[in-house]
Amino acid sequence: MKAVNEELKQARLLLARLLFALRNDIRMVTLWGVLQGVATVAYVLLLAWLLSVTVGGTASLAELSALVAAVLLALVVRAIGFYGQEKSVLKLNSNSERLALQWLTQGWENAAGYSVASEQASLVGEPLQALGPYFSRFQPQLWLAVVIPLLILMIVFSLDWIAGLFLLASAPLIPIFMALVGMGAERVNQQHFALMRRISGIFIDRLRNLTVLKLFNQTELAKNEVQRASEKSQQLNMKTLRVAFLSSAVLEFFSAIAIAAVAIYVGFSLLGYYEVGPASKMTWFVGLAVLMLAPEFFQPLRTLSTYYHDRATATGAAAELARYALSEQPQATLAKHTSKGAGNLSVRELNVSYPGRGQVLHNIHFTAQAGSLTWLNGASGAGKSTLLKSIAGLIAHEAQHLAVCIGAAPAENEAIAYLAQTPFIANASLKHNLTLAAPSASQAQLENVLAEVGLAYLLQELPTGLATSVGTQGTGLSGGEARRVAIARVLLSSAQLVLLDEPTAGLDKASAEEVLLAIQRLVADQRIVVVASHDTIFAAVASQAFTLTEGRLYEA
Amino acid sequence: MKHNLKPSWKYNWSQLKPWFKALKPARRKLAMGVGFSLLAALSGVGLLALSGWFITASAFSGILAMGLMVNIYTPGAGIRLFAVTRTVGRYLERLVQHDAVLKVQTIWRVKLFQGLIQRDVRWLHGQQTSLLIHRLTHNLNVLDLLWLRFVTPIATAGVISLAVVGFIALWSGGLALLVLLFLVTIFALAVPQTMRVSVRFAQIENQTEEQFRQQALDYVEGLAELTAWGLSPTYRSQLMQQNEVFMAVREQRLRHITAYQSGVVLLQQLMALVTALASIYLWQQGQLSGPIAVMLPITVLALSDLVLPLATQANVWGDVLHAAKQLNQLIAPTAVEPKQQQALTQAQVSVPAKGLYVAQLYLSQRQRVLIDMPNWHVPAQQHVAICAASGVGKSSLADHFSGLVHSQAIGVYWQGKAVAAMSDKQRSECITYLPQRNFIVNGTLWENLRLADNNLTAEAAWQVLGWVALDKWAMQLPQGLDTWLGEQGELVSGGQGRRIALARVLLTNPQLLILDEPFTGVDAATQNIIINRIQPWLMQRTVIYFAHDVSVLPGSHVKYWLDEKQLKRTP
Repeated sequence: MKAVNEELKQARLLLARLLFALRNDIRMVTLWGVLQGVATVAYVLLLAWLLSVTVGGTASLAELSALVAAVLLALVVRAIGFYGQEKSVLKLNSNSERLALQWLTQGWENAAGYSVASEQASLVGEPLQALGPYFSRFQPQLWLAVVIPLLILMIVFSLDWIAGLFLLASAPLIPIFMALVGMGAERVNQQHFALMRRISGIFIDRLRNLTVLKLFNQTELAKNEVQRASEKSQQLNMKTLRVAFLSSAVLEFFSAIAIAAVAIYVGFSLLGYYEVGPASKMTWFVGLAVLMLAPEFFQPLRTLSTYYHDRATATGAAAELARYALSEQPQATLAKHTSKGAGNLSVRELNVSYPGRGQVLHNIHFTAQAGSLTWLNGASGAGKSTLLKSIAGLIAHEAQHLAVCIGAAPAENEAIAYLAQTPFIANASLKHNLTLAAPSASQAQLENVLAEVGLAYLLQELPTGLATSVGTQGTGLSGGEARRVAIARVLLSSAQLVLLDEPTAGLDKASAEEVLLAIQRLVADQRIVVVASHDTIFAAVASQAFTLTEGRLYEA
Repeated sequence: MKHNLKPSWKYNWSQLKPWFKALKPARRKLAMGVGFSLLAALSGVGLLALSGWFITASAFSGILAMGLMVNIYTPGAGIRLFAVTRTVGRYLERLVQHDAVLKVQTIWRVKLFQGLIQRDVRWLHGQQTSLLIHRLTHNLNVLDLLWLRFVTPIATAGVISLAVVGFIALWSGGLALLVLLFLVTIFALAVPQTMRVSVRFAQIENQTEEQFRQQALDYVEGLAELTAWGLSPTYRSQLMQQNEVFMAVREQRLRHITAYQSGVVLLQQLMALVTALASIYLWQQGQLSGPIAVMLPITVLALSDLVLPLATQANVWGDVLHAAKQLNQLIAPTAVEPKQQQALTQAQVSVPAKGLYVAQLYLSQRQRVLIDMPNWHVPAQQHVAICAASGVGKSSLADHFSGLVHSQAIGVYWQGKAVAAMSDKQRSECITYLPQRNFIVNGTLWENLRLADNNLTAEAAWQVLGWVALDKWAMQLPQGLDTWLGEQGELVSGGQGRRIALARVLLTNPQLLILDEPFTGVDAATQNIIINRIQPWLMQRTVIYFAHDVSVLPGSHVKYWLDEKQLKRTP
């Protein structure tokens, strides 16, 4: 429960920040909405006037044409108001998405060293789009639901205060019912979220395991499970929906009753049944105008109630986005120290602590020369990855001195090549993947590096050579091939320091040896190579070896 | 234009037809929902119309003293009745509709699942699961809009509009014709026009959105490396740029819709004004009584609740159609009919009556040739090991041998019978396959084991758990066999998951057993224990092991090494 509250707090904080940033756009939408509302009220009043002065009245032709012109003006203004509002809604939706995406990606970038799960990428879909309606529909409608009914109330009061009282009497009830509706809607939404997860949970899980279901001839069973899960959620869903609909039905009921009461009051007054106050002096125009305005009084509230679920949806989306979208600006400690001199890496008194886990690296101290291979050995969890990431500048650390001295390399290129356990292969062509850090590499250079890492055969085997799309959606590369492509990428770039995290994990012996050969190419190319791995294959080729035990580095 | 449209409507309808057809079991509920929707809409219009009539009639007999006598009680009761039926109608409409739509969701989900389970599993594994799952749920959710946001409101608006025209015709045919003309224009603008625009944009909008998602996925997956390179800002701005492209397409579409909607707002109010003027004229001509002359324009005005949202509702069409098309593609029958193919190949080859025989063994993965051999034979009851480096199609070969997938280039026969021609039931009775992935179903340990045997007894379950050395572990679990293993087996370690999958295999009684990397994640000591315990069970069967290293397998009779696209026997 506490975790849920904390999540809610974060979600509200994110919504509040966005609300502040978007306040001008929201004001714009609201103003167009007010214009539209005023035009609607004017239109209704003028139409009532037109009817009252003609049917049962005696209007001159001039009067009539003036009125018709006024009505036409009102309806054109209303259509313009509508168009204006919708256009600013579009702009506002895009702005909210743009801003949220900016914050989200900034947050991801800040967390680059703490492994952002790939499921995070799905946040750019529905959650991002769910924010828009909250700002462009719900927020302006909150104002409109106050301003427009107030305007109508003032007009009705000036026309006939008893009719005004009918409307006013229902007004204080409305916030109560709105809260009811809101609570109902929120409950439905929460329930719906959990349920959707459950149905799609079963559905997706059985789909994921389709292979084994087929193998054991159990697909019928799975189909029945999907059906049962869906039916079960249908029953639960209806339970909550019933409550939610009942509370909005109450709002509907009051608006319908108020309209009926006004109609009957006006009718009886016109018949002369009432002798009190304005009722005795009720005119034909007043009666008609009050009747026609009554539904408009409730309309903004009814609209608000239809937008109410946008708020709940946006809160849910914000809760998902908040984790990264609320993170602070980039940490200053990530600055990379580079200086000219002999090409080497020197790390001195490097300390890293994780919140909640305490210090994970203690006083790390080592130097690595260009053209050497440094092997960091150690059990899993000893801090090997953390060390590599801190050197790469992906994790905040305290270090007395952390320097990559770049010898002859151009000063503007300070890039550090960091290869994660599963190296990054973009869903793009092989060429794109190779030239990521060296956009100007020539065809000959590309072929050359592929040969250097033992991948020359790829050019023959891939249907369209370098232009073949690789990655998960294209031609698949095996684990060893992907790592060698990543190493070829480094060879093409001018990155002086190369950090490899478990480059042979999950590979068979032959593939691991091929990767090792490619790594040795990097060493021969005078790069500073640091490998974190528990694979003893590196023992024979490492220039120096260290063992990392519980966050401390020992010479092996 | 007309000529052009006809086939496309036909085509569109054919995309939705299977989904509509599946609705049959829910049709009574759906019809009731539409009925209540009509009742609520009719009451809303009636409430305003009757009120208008009532106060005008009152005015005429009261202050205007036009000598009209009114029965005040009947209309008063009518107004109250409409007020109540509007509320009740709305409530029941929502209740019944949502109930029906939830039922429809169930029907459609089961239908989709049914379609998907008939597909080749290769298709499923060739995709990025997260994107696939998103596409599935997204498309199902969009399809759900069809009834609630498209069919019901547009049908209701159409029926009530016609009813209003008919009502007006009771008093004046000419005026009714005028209103009908307006309504036809409004509907033409709001419905078919918007539908056309939405179809035009939905596809490109979905495409750009998917590209955006794909780029986001790339960005997140490569985040650490890109950041270290200093390339993260470039990628990030590319991602933002792709979002701009997507948003521009979406805005362009909605600008069209907004323009139509504004047109509808204008026309709707113009219609009310024109009706008012015409009524006034008719009243002056003495063709309409005063109360009627006021009631008619108010009735027309009351239609705005139904007419104004039409364009927004019709805009759903493009997305629904796109979703239906994508789902149809997902569950479309696979191009190659296994039965036909079998008839073709059987005529060409003579198949040994015993053991596993592969006539023609040609395997290419994503256009790369991996294996190319004329044939391959494993005599019955032989134990064979196939060794190959990772990524050269080992698992794909295992998928074929087990009959899980078929292709024309690999003809697999077991005991002289084409595996492709066997039903799932026949196949599962003679062949058992342990794939490389564990496939732990989101359920309990018991449920996972029971997949292999519907008549599983606790005794048998404990026996196989003992064979895979999981009995001690399972016994100390507080819930024993009823322990929840979590989504994708997240609550057990990789080695435990492997052994559960192995235990499941041991519950079957196959003639042919195919094991792909049976001991991944299992330490050597445990592995030896398991091998010793299952040896008797393996004895009477034909077994094919797949591994990247021979040393990890129990002693097998014959070893093959995949080299230069051939399965070569090693001494």
